[in-house]
Amino acid sequence: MMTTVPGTVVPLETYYEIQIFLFREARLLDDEQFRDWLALLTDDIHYWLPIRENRFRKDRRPAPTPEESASVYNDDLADLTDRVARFETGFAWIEDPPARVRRVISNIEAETTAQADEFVVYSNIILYRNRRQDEEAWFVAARRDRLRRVDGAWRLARRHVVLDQHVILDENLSVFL
Amino acid sequence: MKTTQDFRQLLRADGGTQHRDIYWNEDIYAQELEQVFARSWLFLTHDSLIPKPGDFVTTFMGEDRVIVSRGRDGVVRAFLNSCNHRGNIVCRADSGNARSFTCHYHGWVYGLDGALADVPLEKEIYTEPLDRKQLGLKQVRVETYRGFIYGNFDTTAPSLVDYLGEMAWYFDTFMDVPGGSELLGPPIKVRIKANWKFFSENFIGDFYHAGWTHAAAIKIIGGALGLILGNQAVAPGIQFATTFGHGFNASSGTDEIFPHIHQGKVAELFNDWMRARIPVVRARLGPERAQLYNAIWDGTMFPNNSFLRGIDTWKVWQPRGPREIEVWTWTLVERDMPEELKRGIRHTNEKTFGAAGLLEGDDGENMEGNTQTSAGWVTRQQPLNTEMGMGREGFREGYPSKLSEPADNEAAHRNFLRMWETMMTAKDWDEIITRRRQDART
Repeated sequence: MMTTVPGTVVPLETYYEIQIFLFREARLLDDEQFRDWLALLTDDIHYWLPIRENRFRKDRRPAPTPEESASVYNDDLADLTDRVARFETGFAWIEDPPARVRRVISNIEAETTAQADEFVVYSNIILYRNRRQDEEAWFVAARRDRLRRVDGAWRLARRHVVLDQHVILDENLSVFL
Repeated sequence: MKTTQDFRQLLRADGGTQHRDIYWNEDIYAQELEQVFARSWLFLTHDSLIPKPGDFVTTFMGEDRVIVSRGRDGVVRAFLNSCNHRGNIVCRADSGNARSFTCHYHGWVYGLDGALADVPLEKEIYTEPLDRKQLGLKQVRVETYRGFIYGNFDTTAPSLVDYLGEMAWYFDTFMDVPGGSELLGPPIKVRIKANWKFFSENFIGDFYHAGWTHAAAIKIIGGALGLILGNQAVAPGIQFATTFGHGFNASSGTDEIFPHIHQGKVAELFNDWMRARIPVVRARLGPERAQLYNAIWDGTMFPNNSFLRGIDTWKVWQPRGPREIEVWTWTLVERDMPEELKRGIRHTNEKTFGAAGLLEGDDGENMEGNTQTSAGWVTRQQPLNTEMGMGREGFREGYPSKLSEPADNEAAHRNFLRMWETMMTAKDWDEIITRRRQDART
C-alpha cells in the first residue's frame, strides 16, 4: 500500500468501507446486538464521552482530557463489556420492556494517519430514544473515531463523543453514541 | 401556607406514612423553597474546585441562582446571580476565573464580592448617585466544614457545624483524616422528572432497594455488595439518624475485607490504601470511626446533599419544581490518595453513579414512577409507607446519635421527614431547634 501524508482524504473505496462499517455498527446497536458490536472493537478501545461545561471564550484552561475531566463514558473494553453483560442479566429493569432506539449517522469524513492501517473518521450522530408510553429523548453528537484495519477487517479503536448537551436532558445516557 | 395542623393530615406524627401530595403539590413545593431551602445549609462547592483568587462556580440554592467565588483576599463568598437592575443573570458560565461579573443587559459590573462596582453612564443618566450599598448582589452566608463549602440565606440559622450536629462527628470519619477529603469536578448534571425528596430519602437510608433495584449491576460488579443480590439476604449494617435530619447507612467490612465496588487495578490500589489508612484513622478517631471508615455508606445531609462512601459519589439534588430535579454528581476522594487511585475512583463513580452509571439509571426511573403516578387523584390519596424498623431506634455507647439495625431500615427516612415537617411549619430557627432536640431525645 502506498503511504500518504497523514490527514489526506481517503480514496473512495476506503471511504465506502468505512461508511458501511459505521452504518452496520449503528444497526447492530439499534437492534441490541451488543455482543456483535463488542466484536467490532479493538482490544485497546477507548470510548470517551466527556461532559461539556459552559466556559467563557476567553477561558484559557486547556480542553478536558480523559484523565482530567468528568466523563459520562471513559471506558475500556472491560467496562464496555460490563455494560453489555448488565444488559444481559435479565435484571436490568429499565431496559424491560425494551426502548425503541434509532441512530442516524452522517457527515462522514475519513483521513489517513501516520499508521497505514489506521484512519481518523469524523461523523455526526442523531440518536432518538423512545421508551415506555411516551418518553422521548434526542441526543445529537459529533464523533471523532479512530478506525483500524485488523487482518483485513475494520475495527473501532478510539471514539471521542462530543455530545451537544451540558445538562443531560433525559434521565440517563445509557446508550452508546 | 400550610400549618402544623395541615401537616398532621399529610405526614403521620412518627413519619411512618405520608400523603403523596408532599411529593407533588405546587403549593407545598413553593412553601419548601421558602421554609426549607431558604433556611437550610445547602452544598455549594469544595475548596479544591475554586483554589485561586478569582475562581468561581455558578450553582443553585433551591431554585435561586448563585455565584460562588474566591476573592482577591482568598475568602470564598456567595451571592445571588441576578442583577439588581432588571433581574438578568449576571454570570452565564458554569466555572472559570474572573475579575468581575458583568450583566449583559446594561453592563452593570459586580465585583468578586458581589458588590456593585460600576454602572455605565451613572453620572449622566441618574438624577442622584445610586446607593451602591443597597444594590450589591444579595449575600449568602458561607461557611466551610473541612473544605466543603455550604451556603445559607438565613442569617438566624445556627452555624454550619451546629446544623451538622452529630453528623459532623460522622463526617470526620473521612473528612478529618490527614490531608482531608476533596471533590473532583466539574459536576455531571442530569435532568430527572421526579420529586427531590425521593432521592434524598433513597440515599439517606434505603439500603433495602440496593439488592433489588440494582440487581443487574450488582450481578456484574458486585464485590462486597454481592451478598444482597436479589434481596436474598440482609447485609450487616447500622442506620444513623441525627437531630437536624441528616442520616446514613454504614455496611461494614472487616479490616481485611474492604467493602467497595472498585474493579481490577483500582480495587488493588484502594485495598492498599485502606490497609494502610485504617490504623491511622483508629489512632486518630477511635475504634467506632475506624470501623465506619471501612464501610460502604449511603447518606444524606438535609435537605438535598447525598453521598456514597466506598463508591465515592457526592450529589446534590437540585429541585426544578415539585416533579423534576437536576442531579449534580461529583467524585469524593481523599486529598492524600495517589493520583492514579483518585482517577480510578472517579472512573468507578462515573461508571456506576454517573449519567450512564450502571446503577444510577435504575434509580432515576423508580423515582420518576414514585412521582408521576400522583397525577391520578385517587392514586394520590393512597398513603406511602415508611414503617420499616419502627421502634428499633435507640442509642449506643460510643456513637453521638440515634441508630438502628440492620441497614435495611426506614428510621432515617422518618427522621428526615420529621425534620422536613418541622422546617415547613416552624416560624423560626429557635422553634426548629427546640422541636428537633425534643425529637432527638425520644
